[in-house]
Amino acid sequence: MRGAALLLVVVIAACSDGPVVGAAPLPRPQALVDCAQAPDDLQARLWVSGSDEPCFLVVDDAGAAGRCAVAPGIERRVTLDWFIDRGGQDVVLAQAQRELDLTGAQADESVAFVDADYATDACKDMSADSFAGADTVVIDGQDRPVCDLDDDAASNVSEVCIGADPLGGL
Amino acid sequence: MTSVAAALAVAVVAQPARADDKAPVITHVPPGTCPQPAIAGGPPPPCVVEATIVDTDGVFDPTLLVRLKGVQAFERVAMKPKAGAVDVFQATVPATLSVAGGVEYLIEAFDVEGNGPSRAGDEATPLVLEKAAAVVPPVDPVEDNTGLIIGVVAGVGVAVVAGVAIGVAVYALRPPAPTEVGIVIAAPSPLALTVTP
Repeated sequence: MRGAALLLVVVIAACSDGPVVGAAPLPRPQALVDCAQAPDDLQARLWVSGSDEPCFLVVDDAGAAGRCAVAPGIERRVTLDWFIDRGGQDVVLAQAQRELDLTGAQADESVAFVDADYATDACKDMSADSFAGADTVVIDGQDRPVCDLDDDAASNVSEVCIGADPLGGL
Repeated sequence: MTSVAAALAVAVVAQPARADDKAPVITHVPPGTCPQPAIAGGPPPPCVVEATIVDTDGVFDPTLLVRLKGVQAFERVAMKPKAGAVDVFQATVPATLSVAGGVEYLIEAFDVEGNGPSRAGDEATPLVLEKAAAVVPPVDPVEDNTGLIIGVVAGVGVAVVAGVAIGVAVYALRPPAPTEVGIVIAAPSPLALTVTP
């Protein structure tokens, strides 16, 4: 069962300060936990503040992993998007964010997310602002919540898991 | 014959011994200066004038005549044989004169036959003893901290220079800062996307 490994991922803490551990688990509708139709084209990418381009991660049944190069010397905000592509439109299903102090970094820093870090209904669009992000994304001239693109009060992931169209026929 | 011999003997006896008619020879190297007290205000060391005075009959009344510059009259100081030295006589300039300033002097002597006087220097152009340069008082090591201050300043300076040099060396030898590090990500698939069996 994918991800059933209790989502425990080895944390390689190269920095003494370490990354900020995620806040309290976000409430998640039971329906979302029971994902009947998980997408098989799931992708993951990492936005690093200060960079306009995301870093794509390798996704397998257990999760996502990868190494993203970045210049050290400052604190960075990293944002992990789990998303799928529907007709050229990125549909963000879950998102996690961390602050990472690279001020004195001399070597790679490891960041391990846990499920509690993920948000599925309050996501940010990081494509235009890799630090603060935007609450909405413009589709057909309309501002739409990033994790509810059809703005129907049902998150993208909840719709995907039941086989519905997260874009709502947009 | 006997009378002739007697006459010759009388003549020999009667003829007086041949007397020295030459005055003593004085050899003198002017010392130039009189030494000054080693400690300001302290007692002056003796200002000794000596000369070698030679006469076959014997030297009589060797005398140092000395006066302050500008003073008319000379004081007479008898010169005594120097112990352990043949024909060397010496006299000490009175301290009142030697510490006061320039001293003019001459040396004169007769022989025991009354020949003389021989002189080194004369009244018109006397020899001179100048007052030696003032002696710098010895430094009191307790009172004078100049050396200590210089030493401390120099030491601090050396330490600063050494510190800077070490700092520069450490900086120069430091490992190069990375221009890039990696953010290594490990993330589980969201539970929300987990298929429930």
